[in-house]
Amino acid sequence: MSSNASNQAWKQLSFIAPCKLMPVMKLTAVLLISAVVNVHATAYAQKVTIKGKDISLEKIFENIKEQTGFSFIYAKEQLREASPVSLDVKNEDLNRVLKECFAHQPLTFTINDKIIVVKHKLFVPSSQVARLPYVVVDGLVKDSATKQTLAGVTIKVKGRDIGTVTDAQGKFSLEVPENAVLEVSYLGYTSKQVSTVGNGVINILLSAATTGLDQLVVVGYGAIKKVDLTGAISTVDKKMLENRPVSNALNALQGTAPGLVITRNNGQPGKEGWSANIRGYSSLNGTNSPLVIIDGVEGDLSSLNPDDIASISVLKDAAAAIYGAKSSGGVIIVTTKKGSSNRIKLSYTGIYSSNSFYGIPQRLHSWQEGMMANISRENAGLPDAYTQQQLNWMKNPDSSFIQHAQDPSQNGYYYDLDQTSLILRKSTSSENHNLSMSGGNNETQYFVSMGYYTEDGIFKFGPDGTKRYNARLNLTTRFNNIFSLDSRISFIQSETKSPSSDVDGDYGLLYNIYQLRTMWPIFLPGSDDTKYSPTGTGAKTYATLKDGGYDKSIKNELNGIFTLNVEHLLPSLKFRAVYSPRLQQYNDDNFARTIPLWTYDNAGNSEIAKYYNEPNNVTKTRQTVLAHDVQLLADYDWSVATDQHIHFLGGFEYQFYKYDQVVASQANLISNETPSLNLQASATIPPTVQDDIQTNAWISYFGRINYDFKEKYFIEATIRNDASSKLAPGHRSQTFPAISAGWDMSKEVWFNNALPFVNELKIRGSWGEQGNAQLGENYQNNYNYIAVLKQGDAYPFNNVSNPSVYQSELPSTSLGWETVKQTDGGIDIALYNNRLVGSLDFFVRNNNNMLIALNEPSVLGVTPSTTNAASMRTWGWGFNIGWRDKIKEVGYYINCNLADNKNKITRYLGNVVIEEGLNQAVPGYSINSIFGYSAQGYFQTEDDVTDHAFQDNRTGPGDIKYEDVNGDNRINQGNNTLSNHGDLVYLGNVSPRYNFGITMGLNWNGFDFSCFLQGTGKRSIMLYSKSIVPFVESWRQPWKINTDYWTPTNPAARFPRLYQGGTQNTLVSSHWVQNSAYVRLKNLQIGYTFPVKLTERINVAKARIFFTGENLFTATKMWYKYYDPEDPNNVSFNYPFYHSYAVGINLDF
Amino acid sequence: MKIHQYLYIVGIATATTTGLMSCNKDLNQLPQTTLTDASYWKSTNDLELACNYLYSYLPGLGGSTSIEPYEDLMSNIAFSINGADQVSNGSRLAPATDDNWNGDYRLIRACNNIFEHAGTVKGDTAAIVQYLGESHFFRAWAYFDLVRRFGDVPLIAKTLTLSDTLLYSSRINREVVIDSIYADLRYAAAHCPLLSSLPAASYGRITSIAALALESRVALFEGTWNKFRDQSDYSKHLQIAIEACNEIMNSTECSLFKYGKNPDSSYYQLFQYQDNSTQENYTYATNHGIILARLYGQNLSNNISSHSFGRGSATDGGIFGTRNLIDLYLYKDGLPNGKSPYDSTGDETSTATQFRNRDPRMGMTYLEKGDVIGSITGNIPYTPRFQYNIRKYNIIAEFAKQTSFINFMLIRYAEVLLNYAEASYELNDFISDADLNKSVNLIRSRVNMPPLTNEFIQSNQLDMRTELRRERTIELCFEGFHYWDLLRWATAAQVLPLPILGSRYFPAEMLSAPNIQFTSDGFSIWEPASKRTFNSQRDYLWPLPTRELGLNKNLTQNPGW
Repeated sequence: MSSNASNQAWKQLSFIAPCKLMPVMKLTAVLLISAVVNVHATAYAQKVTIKGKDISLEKIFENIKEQTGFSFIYAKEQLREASPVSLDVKNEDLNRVLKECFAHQPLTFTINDKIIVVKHKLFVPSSQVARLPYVVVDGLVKDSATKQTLAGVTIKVKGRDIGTVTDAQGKFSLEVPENAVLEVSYLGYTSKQVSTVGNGVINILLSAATTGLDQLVVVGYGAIKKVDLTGAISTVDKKMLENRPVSNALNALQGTAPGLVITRNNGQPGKEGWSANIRGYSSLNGTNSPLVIIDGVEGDLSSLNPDDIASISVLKDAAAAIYGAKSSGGVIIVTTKKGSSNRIKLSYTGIYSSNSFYGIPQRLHSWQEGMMANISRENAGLPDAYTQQQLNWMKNPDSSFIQHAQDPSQNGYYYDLDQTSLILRKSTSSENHNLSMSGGNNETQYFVSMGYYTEDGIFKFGPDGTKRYNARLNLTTRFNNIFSLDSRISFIQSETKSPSSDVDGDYGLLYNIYQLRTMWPIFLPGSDDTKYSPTGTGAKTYATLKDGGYDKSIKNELNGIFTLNVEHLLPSLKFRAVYSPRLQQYNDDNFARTIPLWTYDNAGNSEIAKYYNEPNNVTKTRQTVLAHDVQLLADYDWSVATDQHIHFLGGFEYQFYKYDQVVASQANLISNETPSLNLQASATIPPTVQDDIQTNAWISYFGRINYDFKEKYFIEATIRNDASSKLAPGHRSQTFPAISAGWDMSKEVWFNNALPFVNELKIRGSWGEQGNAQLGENYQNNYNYIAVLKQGDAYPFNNVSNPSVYQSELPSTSLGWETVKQTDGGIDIALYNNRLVGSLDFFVRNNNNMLIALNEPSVLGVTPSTTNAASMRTWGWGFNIGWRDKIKEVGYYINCNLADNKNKITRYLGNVVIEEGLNQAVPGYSINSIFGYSAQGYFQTEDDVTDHAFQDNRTGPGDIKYEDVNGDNRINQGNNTLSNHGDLVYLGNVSPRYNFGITMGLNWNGFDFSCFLQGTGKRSIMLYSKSIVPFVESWRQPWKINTDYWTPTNPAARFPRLYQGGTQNTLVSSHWVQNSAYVRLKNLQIGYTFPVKLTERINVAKARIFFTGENLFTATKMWYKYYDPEDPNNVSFNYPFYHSYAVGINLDF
Repeated sequence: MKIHQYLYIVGIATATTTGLMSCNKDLNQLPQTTLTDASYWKSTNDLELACNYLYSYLPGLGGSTSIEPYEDLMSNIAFSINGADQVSNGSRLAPATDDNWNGDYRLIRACNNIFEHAGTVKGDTAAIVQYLGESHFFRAWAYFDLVRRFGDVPLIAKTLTLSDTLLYSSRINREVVIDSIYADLRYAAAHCPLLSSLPAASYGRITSIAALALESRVALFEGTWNKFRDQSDYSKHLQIAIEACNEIMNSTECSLFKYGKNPDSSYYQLFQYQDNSTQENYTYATNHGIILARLYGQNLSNNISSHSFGRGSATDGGIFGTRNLIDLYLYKDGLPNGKSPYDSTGDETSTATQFRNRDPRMGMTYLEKGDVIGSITGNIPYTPRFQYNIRKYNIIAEFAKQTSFINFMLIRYAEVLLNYAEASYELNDFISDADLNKSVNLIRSRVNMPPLTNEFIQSNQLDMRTELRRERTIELCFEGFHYWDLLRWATAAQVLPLPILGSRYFPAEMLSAPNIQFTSDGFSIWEPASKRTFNSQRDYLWPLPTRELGLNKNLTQNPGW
């Protein structure tokens, strides 16, 4: 064996990291070791007593450690090669016992100052290897459970380039060195190493990988085996989160589990507005977002490094009811990685991504805009906006700036300047670096990670981008056989820089360059691009980005979760005490810097015409959120009989939340460069300061019983009582029960005899009550039962700001939580050695006391309070199915999930109103349904108009014709009631339907490939009415797509005739409502792992390079291509999304 | 078990119990940074802040709740470069919701809320009743806006709860609503201070004069509304109007504004800053002609509130005058088109001839060729267009900034004088020269126009009512009166269907002819008669928002809608 290989082996066996590690790593490792050693600084005897048959080496080591205080250092994989030992020794010398244990093992040991290091026997000088004789080994590989032979299993000789594959009968034959170790691997099975002794036939049993049914699934306040589950719980493969060029975990979760829908608002770095939803909407109130539990306490997925995640469970049915009042949106439970009592593992992942934006509207030349403006005005009976001469000036670059000495009214700018290409870049970049280290021994395990993410935005200059730094230490320490402490400390900082004024939305920075006239310049002509021109807001985007200040927000979050575990104190009883403080700090500094805008005076000298951001001003927001979570949990295991087990969980939880914000701003600073609150120019204009404090507290008791009989029949029951300060006294406490049961048919003998290839067939059912207390974010709606007064606009008596107060809302004096009752039925199935796994669920959720803000006559004069006066039902199904197998050398897998849900308002005590546009709640319809007019193409002639029902007195040929549904010869909304809503018809609703995700991948000889498709089968969205056609207002210019407008010779155009102020064509109608169904190639990854024998020469255990891409391909049913199917409903001038192409590297040391 | 295990158990149990007991009290969390009803309504200052909120409902020159000058777009004297107004041309449909309806009832609730909570307020009684007086004024303001639009409306005199049957109140006869307006205004007039006794820091608050002036406006509206719909009890309202005006005119509180430096330009200067360089607005100390104004902030540094009326509306033509209004201006001899020897309508040769020998207010209301205006390339001379761009409230220096702080006069003394003259005339179909001299002729003399007398009317075969209405229209144009005047006079059905005309085309002065139609005598047509209707069975009252009809079965829609 080469000396490199021996280095490698030494490293595997040693705690002392090689010098090549970063100094800080080394230091950490040393500190951790000394901590461990200190714990065991007591003297122990070196005699041992052990008796037993077929004891594993690991058990023996543990035993010896307890008796002598000696520690063992070994790699877990090593022990897999070892065979169990039978011992019967009494007060025997340690050295002799060890020798006996290692006698027939491929391993040996050395003792070094109370540390016993386990080594491989093959660790011999390379000169000896060459002399080893070759022998032929024949073998047979079988499934350890079913004893069926396995074909296509890879057999390799460890450390050598020798290998083969089993044939159809599961047999193989291989020439190997004497006493070689075979590496046996097969997709879906745990890899195994087998020592050969001489030649002969060996039988190898492979057991299905723990990704199967023995896997632990994290559930509320604990974990249970997947095989014992009775609820609708999906787990997300952490591979879905790895090596993706994405900014946060929510982003990576899109499409990974049936019924879990992830959406975003826009593409602005750091301000994407990610949100999650499970199984659709069950309430009109709040976000309907799932409760996110990270390592046992409430947390925020968007501030978690995706690389730190070990597992994700999605609780969709009443299994979530253990979380009571906050659980109606389902629960996402995330567990972060922890160390293992293993060798040190150091991993690095780096991704560099190039992101190219799409969906930016294509502008027209200024004279094209001008001609279309004239047409739109002529159609509206208005005089032209531009003369032919002015249009000619626009076409000629020499006449971009006209100054008429004789006729100053002709003065003006006649440029042709598409600012989008000047200001927006085509592509930008992001980087992602993650470094993690894990390791430990039997007493202490640690996981340390550090991450860095940076992403630039679309603007070529100015503040636009985000950065994230995060660090985590997960440390588990066992003090003695009773107490152990699990500490998880994480810190994350996100820093987002953006322009000082809004980028998105109507009148935002993007709107300026998307919709304003291209005939305006940015700079005053002749100023050599030094002085901004004052034309409208044409230069505003450029000037704001370059000289207009910034908005800088920094979010820091420090999170600690400390769990003290107590076991072995009382038989079968375990206690856990959890304390978790969470400190979030948010600082935002907004500085709107004054920018002068220039013009020429009558003498032709340039002078300042006005300023943007006049006066300059600085606003500083300081926000602190402190949340405490205290939990006391007890677990009790009771074996009623050998085949009946009961598990009890009892718990108490206390949560307190405090939000404290101070906002200070100062306008008119004496300096335009130093944005400080101190620099006020005039004592008469003091800084304005506001504060906001929000608090809430929760006290909860809960319990759960799990019962199983012969691992065939399962029952689970939970109950939780929540009391909260958010509710009115007398209504504060509520109890949420749930029950579920399962039957694994495959465990029945008759079934197994009939269908032996079925590994699992479980039928499940659940029912439970869950609450919706997520009425908005945590910091909102804390005092809804109290009559409060709001501050209104100040009124300027005597030019002094006089404050005002008013009642804005009625208090909700008997506010109670919404209770959602959910019933779920499902089947889990696993076939053919767990190669095919799937599950299917149906559910119905009824929210029977939903809060609604009643529609009251406006004579009320105030916003009505919400009362528990409506019901809605949500029902749906979801399934996932996966297959993994191997064809010869090529392993492959495919997983599909698809889910759908519908909802309906089933009861509504208030007055029903149906309006054009989005309707929150109409009985018999889904929430957020769109009502509008049914479009019947365009009016083609004047006769068409007169023959049709009256729409609008502007109506003419080329306008959209709406169907006169009720035949009253008038297109209107009736009186907006359920019985009379005129010609409004249902045009769909904005909830996404048929959400699906398909992942597939294969690997071969070091290459791996995976791809992930995600999409939505049906969703209706409205488009922003002021941008669907040009000239809704005179300054809103057309885009290239708008050139396909109606004329008598273009009767089937995409867009109606041009019409200034043509709101008759922008009514909500089937003409504009888009079906935003789509399928998107969300991620594609191609990787190559270098052969170990190459990489180990440079002390790298694993080296993989990969190419990955996000959002590479999209097919959608939307025809209005400027919008993206993932855009929110009715959005205006959204920050564009992007495609990513990335390269990355994974290195394990 | 060993002894240390027992100790552990006792320790855990103790810690748990202590922990559980200590957190129960935390379930009472109260707002710390928000006012609550329970802690408010104690001092006169509390009352003042609640009243300050009411002022945000005053209309003005821009912003979502400020619509006053733009209300002229609903008549035929103003038009917009952005297109026709659907009220003016009769094309609107009954809307689902109506901001006026909603806003008025919000204001009414805010007033009622003040009345109901004032009982717990301790302090200076004069201050308390002053704030109650302000609230009465605002409630009357809201109800008057409702009545002039919708006619009969629900009358709500207390703060409603969700279980209140009054939520489903039917419409109350307008006479009853008007009576409650009078009662509110009389309370306000009795308890609010005089203009002259208002401290400078309180300038802009409601005064007894403002209450009386509003009463005259309401009473004139209701009196003439009734009179021109053959209803006999109109005289009662007209008498109320006359009495209210008399009370103001007989006090020494008000006088017409005269610009000291150049009295001839008083009418123009009235709508400008007191000093354009400092952007100082007129106050009672400098202008006794303002009875109530919507106030704006001071300047960009002290920008409490602002508007952008000047640029988009005045210069760019968001609202401009029509030929229909131009034709109303008298010639300097006091005679109208067709009567005056100065009449140049038939032989206009340039834009300038339109302004020659006219009522000087014409040149002070509209831009003439050569007047300085703001533009994107700096200040330039005005080039005539097909529309008559206006100068009222248009501050040249503010063009580029698009931000203006000029206050908007909601009630000024000239209106009181015009109300007096009209109410006097309509009460008896006659007005004496003495009454003319103490009202209309004060306004005419400020702009050097000859006085209106009964003899002048007779000798020139004029009609007194027409001349009084002309005077009102000219003086108060672009202040939001004319559409409502057309409704109460019942003349909208004759006037509104007429085409909306602009200027003649003078190629030498104007940019090349845009695509526009002209009448046979050469006037540009902004909207042809074919696109304009007025249904006199329907359009004198506004449609109730259909959503309200759906919500409240007891509400009935106005006829024809």
